[in-house]
Amino acid sequence: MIQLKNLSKSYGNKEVLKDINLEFARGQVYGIVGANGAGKTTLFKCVAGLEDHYGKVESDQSPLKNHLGFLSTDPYFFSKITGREYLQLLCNARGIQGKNFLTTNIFNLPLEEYAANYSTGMKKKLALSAILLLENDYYILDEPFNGVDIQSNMIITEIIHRLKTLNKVVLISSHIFSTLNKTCDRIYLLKDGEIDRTVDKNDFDALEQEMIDFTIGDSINQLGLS
Amino acid sequence: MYQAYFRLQYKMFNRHLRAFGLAPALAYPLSLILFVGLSFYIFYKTQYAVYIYPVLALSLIGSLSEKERNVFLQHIFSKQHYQRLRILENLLVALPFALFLMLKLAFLEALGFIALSVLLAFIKSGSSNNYSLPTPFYRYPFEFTVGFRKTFLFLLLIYFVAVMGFWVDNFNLSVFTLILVFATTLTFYMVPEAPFYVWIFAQKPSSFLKHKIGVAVMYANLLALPIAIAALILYPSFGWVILLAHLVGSLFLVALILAKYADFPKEIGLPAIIFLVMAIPFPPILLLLIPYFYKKAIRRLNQFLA
Repeated sequence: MIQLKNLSKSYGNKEVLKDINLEFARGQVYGIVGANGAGKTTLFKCVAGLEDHYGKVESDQSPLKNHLGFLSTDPYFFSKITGREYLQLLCNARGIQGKNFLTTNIFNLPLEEYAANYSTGMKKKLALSAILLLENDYYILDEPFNGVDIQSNMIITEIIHRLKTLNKVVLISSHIFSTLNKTCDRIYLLKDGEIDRTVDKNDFDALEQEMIDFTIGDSINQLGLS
Repeated sequence: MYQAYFRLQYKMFNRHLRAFGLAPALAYPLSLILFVGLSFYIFYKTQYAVYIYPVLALSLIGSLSEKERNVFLQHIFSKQHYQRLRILENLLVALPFALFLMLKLAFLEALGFIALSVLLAFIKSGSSNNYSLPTPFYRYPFEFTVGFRKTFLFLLLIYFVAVMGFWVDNFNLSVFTLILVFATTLTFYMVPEAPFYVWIFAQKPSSFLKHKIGVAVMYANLLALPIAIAALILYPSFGWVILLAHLVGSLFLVALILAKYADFPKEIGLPAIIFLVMAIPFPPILLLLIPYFYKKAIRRLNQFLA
């Protein structure tokens, strides 16, 4: 379980998260959606402890950060480190030993090559592989489907289902609604730093249609395509 | 066009200075004093300064050859303009060093240095091929793994100079190469990593620092060991000098690591750099700096590791 109590965050005078109160239960997958700049990544970083914030973040495993796998939108890799060494670095950091990186390499990544030279999708898959190796209880996946191919997309979806059955807490953000529809139990709509709406699984299709209508509206007609 | 480019570079550089907490009006005269002072110091300290000085300057100029930066410049400028711009850039950086070499009447070396600076304008460092250089430091990534690969050729050059030193029976040169090895390892710890790479550690700040320092000191001494062993065999009566070089090198490494985390996630601050520079001519200062940086580092790391 992760509980957010009165979580707020400001950059200077700009308040990007406003008094957020949420509870994430084990064995559930939560989606966070919102426009660019709505505060999704900031929310995730605050939960992870990568950003200072007001309010409390509590969890049933303490400290939360030592049990949390954080997949950032754009994972950063050092310029001269191989995929295998990246996995080794993260395992060392968490004191995990004896992992066979070859058998766990389900994305068939070229682990002996420099990770910084990987494509966007490969980088994402390497970062995801690393946090899965760390045997976490909580997962924050910021745009996990960005840049990955269809096959990997299916694998990631299946991994999220597996994490759910393993009683983990999973938070996802994605701009691809179909992936959220397949994986999430509940979706929170973040707007201007506040939770604007909470939508349960039965209402996902209605939410998607509503978002399409709101986002697209009459704008395509304005192009005057003929 | 060139004017606009260099004006933009000047603006960006000034912004970096301000972000560093230094007013440009103060930074430029200070840099000049520091440059002249360090240049005189190198020439005062060693008779091989005419070779070491250009190598140090070329390593600075080489940083302008960084691949991504050059690919970007190639995208926005025509081939001809790009090449001229890169030559001009390298010459601008090389100019003060060349002038100082001439001041020291090393005209031939200055000429060779300028020629090499121009040649560097045609090189893009950082390869995109899939070959990864094997490293003996793979067990504990990342600083030494990355640093070793980035400075591999330079380290080879140091070992070569060390062998030459033994060959011509020059003990001072051998000790100098030993110091150069430690100085090279210091560069592995200059730039702070992304906060994620600290946050991911399931350790308290004190254990985290102990682990970082332990790995750094062990690997740095390992890298210097071949030179040290050869020097101990050839000059056994100067064994204490070798051990002292290892000790001082290790202490600098410890101080730098602590200084990095004392300002983390920002870059090492100006006061810390001034303190560390002050310790170069008088290393015992490190014994005061280390506990000072340690306390600061623990405070900073609490934000990410507590």
